[in-house]
Amino acid sequence: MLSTKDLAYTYNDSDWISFPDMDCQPDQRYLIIGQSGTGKTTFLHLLAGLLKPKKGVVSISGQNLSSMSGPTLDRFRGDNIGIIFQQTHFMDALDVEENLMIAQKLAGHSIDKPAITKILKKLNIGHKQYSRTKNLSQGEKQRVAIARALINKPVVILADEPTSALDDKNCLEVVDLLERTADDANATLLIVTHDNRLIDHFPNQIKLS
Amino acid sequence: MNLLSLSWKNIMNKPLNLMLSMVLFGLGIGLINALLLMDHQMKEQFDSNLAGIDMVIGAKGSPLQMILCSMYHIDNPTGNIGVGEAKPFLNPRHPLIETAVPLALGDSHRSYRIVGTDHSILSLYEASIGEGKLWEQHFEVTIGRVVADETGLKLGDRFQSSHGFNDDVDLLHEHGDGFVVVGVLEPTGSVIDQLILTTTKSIWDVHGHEEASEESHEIHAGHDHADHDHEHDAAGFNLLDYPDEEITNILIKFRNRTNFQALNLPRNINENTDMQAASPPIEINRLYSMIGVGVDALRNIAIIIALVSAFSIFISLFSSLKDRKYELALMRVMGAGRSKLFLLIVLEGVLLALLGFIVGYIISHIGMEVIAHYAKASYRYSLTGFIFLKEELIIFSISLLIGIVAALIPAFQAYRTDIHETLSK
Repeated sequence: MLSTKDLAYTYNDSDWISFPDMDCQPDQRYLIIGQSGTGKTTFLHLLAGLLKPKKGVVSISGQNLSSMSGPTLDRFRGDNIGIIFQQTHFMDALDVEENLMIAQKLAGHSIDKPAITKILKKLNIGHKQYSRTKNLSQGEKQRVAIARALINKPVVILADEPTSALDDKNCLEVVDLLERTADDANATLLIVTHDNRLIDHFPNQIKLS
Repeated sequence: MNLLSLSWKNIMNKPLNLMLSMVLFGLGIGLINALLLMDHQMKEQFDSNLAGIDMVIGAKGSPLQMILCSMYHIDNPTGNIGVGEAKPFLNPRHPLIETAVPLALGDSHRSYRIVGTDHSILSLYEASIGEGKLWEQHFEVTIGRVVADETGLKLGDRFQSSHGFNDDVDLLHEHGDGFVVVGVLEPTGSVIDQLILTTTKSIWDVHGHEEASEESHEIHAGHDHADHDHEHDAAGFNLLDYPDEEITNILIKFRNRTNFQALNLPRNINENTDMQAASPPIEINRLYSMIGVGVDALRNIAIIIALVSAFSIFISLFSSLKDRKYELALMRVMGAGRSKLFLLIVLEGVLLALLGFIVGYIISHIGMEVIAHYAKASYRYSLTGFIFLKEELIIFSISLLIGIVAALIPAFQAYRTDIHETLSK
């Protein structure tokens, strides 16, 4: 599903960060752990095609991300990769539903309102469908971000420190939510974190150093 | 939810920015558009009233004043000329002159000017009788359509004239039963719609009679009825039989306006007689160029405002980019290409400009309508705010262009958004 080989990146042409090779299967969850400064975000961005690798290859569904042209890669990302960022950001001018609609549209899908209603209900925020995103609580924002990452049924879900701002109770809830939704979507789930609370949950762990 | 609706929601999400851009842009465009409407309609009014008149003869004075008085009826006469003096030009057998229309001015009714003239004036303005008949007898008047509509005068109505151009009771002439309306002209859209037409002798009589009555009332009382009737009979009246009387102007159409002698005629009159002659197109062009200085200044101010507003659109987009950096990166993450972000910002610029144009369009047309009311009251000119000019399409296109240009740099900035860097923060 998602694999990397000989992946390395440098910001100044002298200090190279090398990343372990991976071969992730669908329906599996992976935890990518590392302390600050070990290139977690860089790794995530390389996996998502937000950053072009200086060395090595990232492939998703057998397609090498580096070989795609700009617009093709953008479209491919929108269609195949769902990303949940550490900080939730939305289009401020739009309400929850419209934020999900624009995600469908930009990925090249047609707008599917029933699907939006369905996923919001599943994440227990059905009643917020027409709320402005800035009026949501932190937990609600996180759920909307998850809904947005999943609305296009991606094959890979990348989550960047999804629990770092949450207390223990909410932390477990979000992890549970991520696992369930990934299962439903038949997607590979990769969580990048330094949160030790997650370590017991995920047998597949990749350590960055 | 497409790019257009997203850009619309984005600009609506910043109402203060939106208002500033709209007000500035609206002012600039509104001013330019109002000038355009004004300029166009004034010229149209002036040009339609040129009526093919090649030369105007009158008393010496300001030639522009004479033209404004005799052709546009918005100024006072420069004075009068003797019929005897003007005789050669009134002669129907004059080799250069096709039509010579005498005008005796001086009186008005409720600010509408009474013009003593003959039926030849109708041909100048291609006017024809609508109701009733043309004036035949002295003290019969045929009125223009606008006069009829605005004063409510109907066939058979009588009124007294007042001296000058103002609606002033103290200046009311009292002459027997006064004037009687015998006809109303078809509307022509030219100045004749605003005139009250009668015989030249009626004008003389109103004035002559008044002087006589002041001197001696007995003579008037001594008039017998038969005599009075005779005096009002215009059959066989010939202006040239009254060399001692005065008229105000003569409107002249040449037989051939490119004839060398005809071209020299105004100069001859100015040099060799106590009268002056002026060419309407020349004087009106002079007027345009005088007004033009003010119009140009206003237009430049309007252009500066438009540029400032373009700048405000630029600033508003540029500063909003800072707040929306993350949003734009997010759009890339969700599948939008760089060119989509570029297009989004350009669309926002165009929408801002479009809204500004709409505001300006409304301002200019309402403003024009307000000006039209004043113009109607003080100059009897019918301007309107409810017209559409082809030139407005050009202003529309320029507005959109300003929106695009103002958005280019911010759009390019959005195009260059580095997603990795933005999202790493």
